[in-house]
Amino acid sequence: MLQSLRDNLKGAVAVIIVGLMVVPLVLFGVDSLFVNRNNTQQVVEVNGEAITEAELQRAIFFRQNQMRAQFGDNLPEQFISEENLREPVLDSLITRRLLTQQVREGGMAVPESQINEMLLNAPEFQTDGQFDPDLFRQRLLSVGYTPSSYRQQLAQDILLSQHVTGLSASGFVTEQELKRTAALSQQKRDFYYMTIPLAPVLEGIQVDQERAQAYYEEHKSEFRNPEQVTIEYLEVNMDEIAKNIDIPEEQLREQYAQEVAAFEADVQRRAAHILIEPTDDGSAQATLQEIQKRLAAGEDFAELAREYSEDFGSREMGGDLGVTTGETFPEEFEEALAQLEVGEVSEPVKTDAGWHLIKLVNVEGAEPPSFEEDRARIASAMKRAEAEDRFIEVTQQMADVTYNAQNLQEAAETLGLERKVAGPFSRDGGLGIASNPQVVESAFSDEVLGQGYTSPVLELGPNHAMVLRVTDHQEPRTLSFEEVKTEVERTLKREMAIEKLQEMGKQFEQEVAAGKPIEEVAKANDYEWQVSLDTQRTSPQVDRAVLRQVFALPRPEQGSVTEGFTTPTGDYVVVNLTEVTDGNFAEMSEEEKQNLRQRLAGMAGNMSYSAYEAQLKQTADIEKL
Amino acid sequence: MAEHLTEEEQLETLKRWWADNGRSVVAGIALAVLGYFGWQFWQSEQQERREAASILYQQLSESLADAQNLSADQLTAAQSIAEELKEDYSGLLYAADAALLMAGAAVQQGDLELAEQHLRWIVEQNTSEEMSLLARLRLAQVLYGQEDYEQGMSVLAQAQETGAYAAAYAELRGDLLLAQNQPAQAQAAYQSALEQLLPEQNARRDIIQMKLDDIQVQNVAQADEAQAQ
Repeated sequence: MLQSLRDNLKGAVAVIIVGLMVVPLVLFGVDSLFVNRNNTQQVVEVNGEAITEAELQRAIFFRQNQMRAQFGDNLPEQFISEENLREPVLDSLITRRLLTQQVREGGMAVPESQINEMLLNAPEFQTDGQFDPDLFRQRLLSVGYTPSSYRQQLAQDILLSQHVTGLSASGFVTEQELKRTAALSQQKRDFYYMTIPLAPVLEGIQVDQERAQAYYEEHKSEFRNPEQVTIEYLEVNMDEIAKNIDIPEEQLREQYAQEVAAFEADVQRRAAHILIEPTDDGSAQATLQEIQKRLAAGEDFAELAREYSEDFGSREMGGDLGVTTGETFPEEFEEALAQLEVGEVSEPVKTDAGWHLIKLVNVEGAEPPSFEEDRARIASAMKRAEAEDRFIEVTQQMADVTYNAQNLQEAAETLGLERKVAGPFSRDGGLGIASNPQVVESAFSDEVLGQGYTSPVLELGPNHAMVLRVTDHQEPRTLSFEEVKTEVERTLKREMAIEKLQEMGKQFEQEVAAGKPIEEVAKANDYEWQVSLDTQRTSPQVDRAVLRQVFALPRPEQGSVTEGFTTPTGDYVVVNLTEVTDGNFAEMSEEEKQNLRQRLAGMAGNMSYSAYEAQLKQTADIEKL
Repeated sequence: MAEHLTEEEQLETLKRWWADNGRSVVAGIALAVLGYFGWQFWQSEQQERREAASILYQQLSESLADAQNLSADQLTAAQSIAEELKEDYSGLLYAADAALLMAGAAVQQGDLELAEQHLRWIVEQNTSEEMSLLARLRLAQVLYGQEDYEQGMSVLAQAQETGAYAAAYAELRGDLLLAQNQPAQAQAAYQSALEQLLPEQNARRDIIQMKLDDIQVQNVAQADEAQAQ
């Protein structure tokens, strides 16, 4: 429904507007809203108007749906958790409220007829192409709206989109700016450059002890060891438990038997019968015998059913009764049927209805697997089920036993678990179990670190739980020279090498600046050199760090500009910039012009709209409650 | 008291009271009724006005949605809707929004004068601060496009507090300064634009940096020398 509204919007404007809308664009797949709609607790007050918890919950819920629809199943759930969405969604609700107030005070209004038209034409509310009032109410109810509150929200969304379009889609770019931007962004530069690598210089550097010591003293404050803890912990892991469970053979067989019985129940047997009602004079017995004789002689069961059967319902069908899984017919009937091979006819069977000659027409449903075939599956399922019980039990016990414990050794023995240790690690986490943020947080919590208690049971996953205690705590401290010697030496060596390289580089730079071709200088010293002509800012051929420097160089007025610099990898590069050619807007293709115009106009619109929104927020009276 | 009076006497009192007060009672009631209906009428009149403006605005915004491929006739038609909104509904937000849209379309069509008129109109209205800052920024942008740099500077300077618009204003000030051959000040303006960019405006960072990089160190030095002399 808002689709048409959205189709008219493009690019950045659409993004802004859709972000502000609260009426769901897609009502499908929303079964019910699991929030308390009556939660009137106020979250924030915007210029005296409250936003309630219920509104926030609903908006979060819609955002989640929107993101799921946009990114599909690949989206990690944590990404759209309520916790993560709460702040940004609240923020957009505040913006929305501010704009709504503005729109109201500015006297903007939507004609009722426009809303009616939208609702009537929304495929979401149609049955067979017609607006369906019941469907409409039902859909709204599922997301917690009444028809009138929904209309109101819809009207707000329309007004917001009108206003935001006015502010943002109206952004523009003048020819003057286009020319200037094109001149810069499409600029081409010609340059030569040689690279003096760091590695060979690094090899030749010797760091003497005294210098390293001095460096250490000077940078002492950088060599700090953060606060660290060492922990002991007990963990319960369902997979581990399952591994150690052994299911006795007889239990496996028992389970198998049960499953086979259940399987049998799934077998469908198609039955046919001939019914003879009992008579007082024994003539029924005679009839039965006669039929059996004729059957034995090879006559067709169906024909005989038509001739003899007193079950008028099935007689014309050749006695066919349809299929049974074992419960359709009287017990005696079913028992006899189950004994038959396909095509076989039973001896007369007596039920309340009379005497039956039963034929098994066919059997549908496969044979159950043999015990040997099914053994592994049954064993693993039974282990799993038992492990789940044990897991819950042990986790519970673990909480009880460790609650007041002085250490975890005893608890480990009681529970039959292994006491493990981890650390030392800092607040940034460590290896193994210490890489889990939940573990780190708990280890540094006031309860555990401050007061020295055992942690509550941490559920690390659905099948994984643990408790921990801190066994050792190290305050942050300055590392001794011995501890950081290698690191200091490495840093110092690199610094010295870069310094030396820069000295060397400066010399080459001077030679080039004096007019010697880079090619000559490079070759004389056996370095790599390159020339790059008509190079653009985004050229993939040249290293990004070099490009960044080259494009920050001043334009050569006469001759060329030479400059050297150290790259992030430590190499030294001497650049000789010979020519700068500005981009020319007039010479760009029509399509390129159009693209640039559109991009810059959009950017300008977005730039001033964001300022508008921020300004509105800065001057508003927003009070978090 | 009433018990002591006969029915006739009571009637007499009432008559006298009516003779004294009847006129004002009737007038009061009439006024209340008139006031009520007047208010109702005024309310619905207002609502009708707003809806009429809404329909006009919606028309305008739809016709300008594809501003790149607008014909001259379409532009004229849009222009007359915008004028109608500005004249008859100047107090409504629709008028300002329409002027913004129209200014954008006019620039797109190369008619900077028309854009200037619309933006000036908003600046002259008594609008909210965020709206007037926005209009002023765009007006200065148009003036830059017309190479009227001094006017552009003064339009920007009229905004005393640029608030959340600081980065946008600073960038445009940089453009205007550079165009007036004041690279050192332009450099400072671009630098300040980079520092005050809002997180939502990050897409603009590269362009401002590019403009900053292009101001050349030796030029700055030269210009400073020239100014000193």
